[in-house]
Amino acid sequence: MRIASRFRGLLAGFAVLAASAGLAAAQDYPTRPITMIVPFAAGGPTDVIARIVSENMSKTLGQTIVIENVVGAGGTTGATRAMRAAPDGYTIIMGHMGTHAASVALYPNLAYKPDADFEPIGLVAGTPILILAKKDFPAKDLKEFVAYVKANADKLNLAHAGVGSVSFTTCLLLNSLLNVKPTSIPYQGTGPSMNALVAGQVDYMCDQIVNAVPQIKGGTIKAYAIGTAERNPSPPDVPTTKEAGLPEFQASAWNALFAPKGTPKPVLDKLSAALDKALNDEGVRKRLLDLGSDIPGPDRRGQAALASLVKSEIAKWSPIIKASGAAN
Amino acid sequence: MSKAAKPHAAPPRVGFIRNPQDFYGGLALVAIAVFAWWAGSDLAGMRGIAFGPGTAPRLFAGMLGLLGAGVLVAGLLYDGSAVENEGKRGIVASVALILLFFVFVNLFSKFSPWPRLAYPLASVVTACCGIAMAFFVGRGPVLITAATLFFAGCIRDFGLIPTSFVTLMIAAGASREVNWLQSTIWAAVLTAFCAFLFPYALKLPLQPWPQF
Amino acid sequence: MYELFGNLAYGLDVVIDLVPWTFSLFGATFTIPVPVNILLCLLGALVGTLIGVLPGIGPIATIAMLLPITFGLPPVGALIMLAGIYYGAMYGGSTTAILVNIPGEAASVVTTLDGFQMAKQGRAGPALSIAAIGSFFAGCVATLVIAAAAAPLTSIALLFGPAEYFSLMVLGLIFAVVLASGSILKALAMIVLGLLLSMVGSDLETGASRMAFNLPELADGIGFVVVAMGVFGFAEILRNLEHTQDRTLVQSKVTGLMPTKKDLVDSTPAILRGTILGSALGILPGGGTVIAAFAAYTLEKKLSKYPKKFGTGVIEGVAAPESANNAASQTSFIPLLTLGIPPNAVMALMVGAMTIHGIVPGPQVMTKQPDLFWGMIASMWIGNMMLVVINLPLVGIWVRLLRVPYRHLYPMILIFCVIGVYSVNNSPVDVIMTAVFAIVGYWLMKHNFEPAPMLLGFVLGPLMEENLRRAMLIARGDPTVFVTRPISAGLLALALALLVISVLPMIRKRRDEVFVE
Repeated sequence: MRIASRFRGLLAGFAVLAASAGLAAAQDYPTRPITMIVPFAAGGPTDVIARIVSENMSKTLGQTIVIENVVGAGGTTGATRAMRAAPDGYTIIMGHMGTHAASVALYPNLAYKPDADFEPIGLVAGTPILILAKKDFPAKDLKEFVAYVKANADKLNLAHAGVGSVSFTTCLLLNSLLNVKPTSIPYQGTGPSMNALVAGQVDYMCDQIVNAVPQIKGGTIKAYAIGTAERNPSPPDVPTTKEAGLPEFQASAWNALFAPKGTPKPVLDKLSAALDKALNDEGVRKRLLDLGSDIPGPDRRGQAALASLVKSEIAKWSPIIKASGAAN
Repeated sequence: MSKAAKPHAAPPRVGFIRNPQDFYGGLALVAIAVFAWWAGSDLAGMRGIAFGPGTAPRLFAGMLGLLGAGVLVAGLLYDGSAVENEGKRGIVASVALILLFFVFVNLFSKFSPWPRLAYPLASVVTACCGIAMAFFVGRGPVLITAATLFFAGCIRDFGLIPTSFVTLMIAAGASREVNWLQSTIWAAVLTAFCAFLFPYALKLPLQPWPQF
Repeated sequence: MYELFGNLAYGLDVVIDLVPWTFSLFGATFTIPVPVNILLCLLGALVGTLIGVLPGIGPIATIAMLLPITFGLPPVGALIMLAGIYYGAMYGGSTTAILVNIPGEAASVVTTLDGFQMAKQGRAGPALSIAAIGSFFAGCVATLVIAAAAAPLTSIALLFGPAEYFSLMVLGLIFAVVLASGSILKALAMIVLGLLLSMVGSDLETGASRMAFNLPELADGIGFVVVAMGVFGFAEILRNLEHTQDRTLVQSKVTGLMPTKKDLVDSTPAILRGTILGSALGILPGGGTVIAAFAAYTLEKKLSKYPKKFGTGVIEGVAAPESANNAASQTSFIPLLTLGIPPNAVMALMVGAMTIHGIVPGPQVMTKQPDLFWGMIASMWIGNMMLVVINLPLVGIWVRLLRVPYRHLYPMILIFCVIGVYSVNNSPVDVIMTAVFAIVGYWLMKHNFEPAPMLLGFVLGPLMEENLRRAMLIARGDPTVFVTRPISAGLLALALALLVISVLPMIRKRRDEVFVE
């Protein structure tokens, strides 16, 4: 009993200490290292972007940013952890199209609301989505591709990197635009699905530009269109969906920084400014562009723009995912 | 695996069971199979020719049930040795400790003033229960389990240094040859080494000190 | 042939690349050439070994941890260093398998079978040395294989579709039966238990949550590290705590560090066969490395004059899987180098590392960045040499570590294990699960069940189910694909033959026993 009460006293002491430290921290934030949760595995597209940007941001903020990869359940494990973290600016998360938009429809028991439980910091970078097919797919351009897929939908096999992955949700969009339901073959991640496409075991898929560019350049697969407003310098001859005749297919796997709900506004502003500075830095821009990333212009940056992006993306993906019956 | 020093001479026979190791082992496998079948019963099975999510789990649960029954029957037909009591007690006590931990986590998250600290509080209480149990059921498994649970519960909030030290001390008690002075020094040395290696040298996201 | 050596020489040139290093001393300026890349390779292999040898931290965790220290280096140097870290970590994982019965990753599960038994007999030194020598030989051969035939081998890998993978996994599970040393019935039960455990998590095709009880921590299934650490490492601690005198005995009889002449003679054919099997199977993405180690062990056991002794500390049982494992981890670079597609989690990390350094791996790396391509291949060879250079002297230190009184050794193993398990996903629940699997492993030991077949079933289960379902989807439900496709049919036939020759003697023996009674 005595031990228990002493223990409680000790805890209370710690709590007081922590609270007073917290108050001081709000003014001269940051005074200690910041943890950036990346809800995907080290080495993946989101992780690479997080590492590039955080390196520059930590220079601006004068504190190291430690990357913590919290993997699981399509990134929602990491997002849940970030949502529950103390809202002091020392835990932020590199959110993603999957964790902060598609998850709403994919996981009915989701522990958080992307638009209500987080404070937006700013959009970081997007990875454009390409429409890809195997090397000997009998279509010259996107128009022929659309016609062929519509005519032979029941014979075709579509590859994706697992339910809830970017390649899965974006191909749902493509299929719903074409009004087809091909057989979809699930793979464990983008590596194996790309392998199957190169080997010609499946017919087509949608995937992020980072994974596809080397294969397009090597001539092992075909790329029909890119789902962004403008062409991308990495594969310059791939037309946009608008040019190729399917303007409704707009898809980009965006990554954005968020903080837990209740993080003080001055802290958020400091983080937004540091992010903005990173995205203007020549070195950072070059490395992001090398990856084929799409860096947001000034109108798409900042907290307000991200807040509205999250709302519009939830509205965009939810009906498509619900219609496909993929929710678990 | 456990080639205990005892010879196989005349194992104690309980009625019709000739090899208790196999008999109870098989029985447990059958129980696991039944449990898995129940746990996967909500999953859709075959849809025409296509596999459903539930097909493979049910297939494997069924196979495990049959093989477990086979092992069980073998335990009735062939002679073998029994599991010594100390081992049995250790297993039962460790399982109880893990269940207690979850009970405490639930209690602390509902009925304590600091629901955020449910994990560390539960692990401290569980570790105390484990130490108490060790006096009755033998040290080995119970204290190793208690140490592991303590680490799991405390690492996020109490930081690496205090958590490692206490974990090491609880674990040290698991050996019959424990020498508390040596173990304390050794625990301090190892804690210092871990504190240097993981958060510093390897830059792992581990807090060295408590954080609330 | 000439071209091959030209390319290799070019690669070596990149690796040996001397960078003039200028420094001033006593007012005078000196410039000396420094082989930076070799030093980076050495440093990588050393750090990789030291981190990989911590129980609980396998190659993936090691590379993920050490990735940031390569950020400041030029791309070629960074990749050479990462490759060194990879080999070091792989070897470190085998070291823990031999010393403390904790496999660093799935492929070294087999090494625990005979390696740890050797350590218990005081022969940890020869086991570690033969692992280093076998790995070095296998690494040299595999490097040549990559340099000579990377491109044609890639097309073989592409022939493997879902049907072929399914048949390969069936074959792999049969290996698990063969490597069991006790009752075949119990080994089969363990494999199926492993398969069942691997079903926990979300279904790949529909995303439905399977046997996860709505716990978010189980949504992606149970981690390999958690199961391996619990069932092998922790359970071993629990067992040792009962038999204290057993342990002291081991410490007093530690014999020589180097393998004897007889050891070398015994293990030479095993190393050769392991190298060939490993080089071939490593090319296959997904599971190739694991199956290589198991296949090599099975082959040795089947060819051996004393198959019964496997599992009791036979040196071939260490030499073969270690060579196969290293050859396979080498040739598993092939899909990455020629196609730019990572075949496993470690290679995915390497891709991440490349992209961070601004290199986009792909089919054009060989032509557009020959310095990188051939430099990496040459560095593989140098890296393997570094491993021998580093590890043969380290063997003495590791063996001395075993002389630490056990009451001090096991808390150390325990704390590294829990920190390692925790840091994989930064998840406390993983640590709790390890405690659960420790009890499971202890229980299995007490009931004479072998954990290795269970772990193999656990690793191969998802691969088998997914490929079966993929094959059926692509074939629109026609099960004959498995026998009409030649590679798949061949693998299934091999699996059937292997099952028959391992089960028949056992049935005959049982029948004899029944008749005797």
